[in-house]
Amino acid sequence: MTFPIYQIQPQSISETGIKYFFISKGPNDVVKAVEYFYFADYNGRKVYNLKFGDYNIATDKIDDKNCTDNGDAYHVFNTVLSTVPEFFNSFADAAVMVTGSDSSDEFEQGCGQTCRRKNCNSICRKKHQRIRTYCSYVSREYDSLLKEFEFYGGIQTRDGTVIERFIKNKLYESVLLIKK
Amino acid sequence: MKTKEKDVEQMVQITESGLLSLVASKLKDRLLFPEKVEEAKKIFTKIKFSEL
Repeated sequence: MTFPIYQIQPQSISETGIKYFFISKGPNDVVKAVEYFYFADYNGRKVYNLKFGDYNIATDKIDDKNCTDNGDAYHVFNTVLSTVPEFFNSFADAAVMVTGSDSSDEFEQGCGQTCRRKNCNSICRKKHQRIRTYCSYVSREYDSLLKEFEFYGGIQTRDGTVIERFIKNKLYESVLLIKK
Repeated sequence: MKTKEKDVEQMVQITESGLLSLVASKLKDRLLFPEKVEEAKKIFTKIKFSEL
């Protein structure tokens, strides 16, 4: 199965990671930035954090909380995912950690201030939306992805984050993956 | 008599690949999501691996 993706230009690589850029097409053209940044070591592997957001050329700022509303969410999501094999081509022994930019308590507080949904009083429905998308993608494509990658899911507890082997259709707060 | 001078923003046309190259060179040495990296570090300092 093939998914439509935007064209990504190969970017320069450094010890700290790699960045990719592409243009989201819709009512507006929006420059999207994807970054893999080295932040920790585990078991001899360098762990990189995967993040993406909008780059505003006029303000020179990156925004990963903004909902672009360009009508191409899946196109963008597939494009971000397409950078994963690209990344592992350059960093074969690395691990990648994915978390959602909408999973923090700060996000929930901010969202609550502008929330228009009446049924969103006790639980913020927008919280964890992004990581939910990643988890359901991994669950859906698990069998084919497993040929190339190993997946782990992170669950937040009072004492920290517990990492376990990824279980299909379970919602995690973070996802860790390595190349086999 | 003086005529009013008006600043006119210069518009230039650029290809998509040209734009992406420009953005890439501008952001080359910049950490794009510093807060998120700090959050990831926090998560990782308190990480426990269950039986894998």
